[in-house]
Amino acid sequence: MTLLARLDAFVARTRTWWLWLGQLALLALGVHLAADHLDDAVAAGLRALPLPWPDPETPTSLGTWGALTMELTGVLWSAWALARAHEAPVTSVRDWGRRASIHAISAPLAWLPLALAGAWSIGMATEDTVASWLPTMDGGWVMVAQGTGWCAAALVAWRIALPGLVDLVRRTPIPKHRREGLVWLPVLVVLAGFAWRYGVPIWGLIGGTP
Amino acid sequence: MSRPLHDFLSERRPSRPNGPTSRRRLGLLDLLLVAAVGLVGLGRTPAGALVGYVGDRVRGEATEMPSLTSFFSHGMVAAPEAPVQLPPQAPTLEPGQLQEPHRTALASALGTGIPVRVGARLAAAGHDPTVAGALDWVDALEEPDPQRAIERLVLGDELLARAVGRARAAGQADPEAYEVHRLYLPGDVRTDADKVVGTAMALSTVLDLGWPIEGPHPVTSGFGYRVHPTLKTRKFHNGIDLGVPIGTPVVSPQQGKVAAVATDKTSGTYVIVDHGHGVRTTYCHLSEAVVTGGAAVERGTLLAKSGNTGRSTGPHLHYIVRIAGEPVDPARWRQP
Repeated sequence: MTLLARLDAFVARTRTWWLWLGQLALLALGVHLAADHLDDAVAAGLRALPLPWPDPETPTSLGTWGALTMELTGVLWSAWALARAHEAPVTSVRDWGRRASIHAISAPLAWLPLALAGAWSIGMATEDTVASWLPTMDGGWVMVAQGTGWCAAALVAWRIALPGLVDLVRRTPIPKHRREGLVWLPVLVVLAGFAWRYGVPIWGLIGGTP
Repeated sequence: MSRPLHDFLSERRPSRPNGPTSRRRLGLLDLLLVAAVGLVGLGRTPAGALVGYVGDRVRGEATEMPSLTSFFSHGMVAAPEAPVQLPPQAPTLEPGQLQEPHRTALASALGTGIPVRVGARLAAAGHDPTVAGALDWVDALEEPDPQRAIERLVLGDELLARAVGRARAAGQADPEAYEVHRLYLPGDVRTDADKVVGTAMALSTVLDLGWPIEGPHPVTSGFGYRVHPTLKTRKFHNGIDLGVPIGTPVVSPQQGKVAAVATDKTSGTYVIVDHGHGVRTTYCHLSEAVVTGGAAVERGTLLAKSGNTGRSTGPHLHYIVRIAGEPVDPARWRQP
């Protein structure tokens, strides 16, 4: 067996592992994008309360630590959800119905915006990197940087985010009870909501803020 | 180890068949994408920082726990880390006369917080005009909004336009506002820009301050170290004492929001006004506060009447100017 073939076999054999890590990293990026807006919202809400804060920066600190807690919880959930998506694929809607639970419904719904937010983060990072290599940022060069960023985001969404979404739907585990996943729901609702609002660049494209 | 995790870890899924070449290439593409996403995730998220920290510990490398909160960018423009001292007098330069050297001057004014990328843009040989001249240069950009002018100076038009474009694509309500589009700047640039824009805005704000007392009056005690008249100890005087009779109107030196109206044994009745961008002014020993907490005030709005309350040896106004919480000499910022 040639070296190339061995390498190919190794990559294929370990795909489950490294794809899992990539999906987790993608979710971590999406969750962070959402949390980075969440901290400001929490701080603004706290500042609006008629409370005598000992220090004017206290609401900001509380917002940051609150968002950080939510973010790390969200990343833990991502690892947990991905680790459980290993059952034999469902073969029909009826089959999926037997596995239906709060987790089975909420996981894909949360995954979609968080993974797209992660893909957009990658797109922006790509655009910034390409821009730093270009001679100028005039005219067509801007299009080159932006186009590369969008392509990277689309590739990541297709090759990393989509398989994760499919696994979460098709390989969702058989629940012990239908309420499974309820404990994660508040965190997912908040993070997914912020990811939809701030991490998916569709609102400006479809004509304004929601 | 829980059963699902054990199953997951021990599972050997069927490997990708050694099928068509295009499929192998897709597998390689996936691996490259995962590597890129993993690297970005490690470098730009608190979870990634934690993983890196654990990895360092496992390898036995001495390392400090990363600051996880530093990954969060706040919506407000950052206040300067230290008060910036300007010369009390500076020549005024004409618009159009000011070019790269004045950017250099602004860079000097902003001290050690100049990032490499901005510094490279600002770096220019030549003479070193005053900081005020550099701020005049900002005015010469003919931007109605000084913060916008400073952003153009710091970020450059292209980077600024990209950030605004991203904020607009995301449907942000006010994509042109710095506190909004800064979220769409590259991470390293954002940190640097916050510092520079924040410092510059604090400078602009404090330079716009008027004076709280109208008409002539003596300065009975200056800013800095002195022998305290009551405590008879060498003590840092964090403001300036203006000798005015009880009942003298005290006005706001610039627009802002009343952050506090309160009374204590030391300061007597006092008012704090937040002018934004890390600049606050405080007025102590008042006989009466006219405004209430949270009220918006304009330049010249009556805040209070001076008095002799608290720990005071006679009627006067104790006036404090703070930048990012640090007191600075109000007399240095007094406009002629």
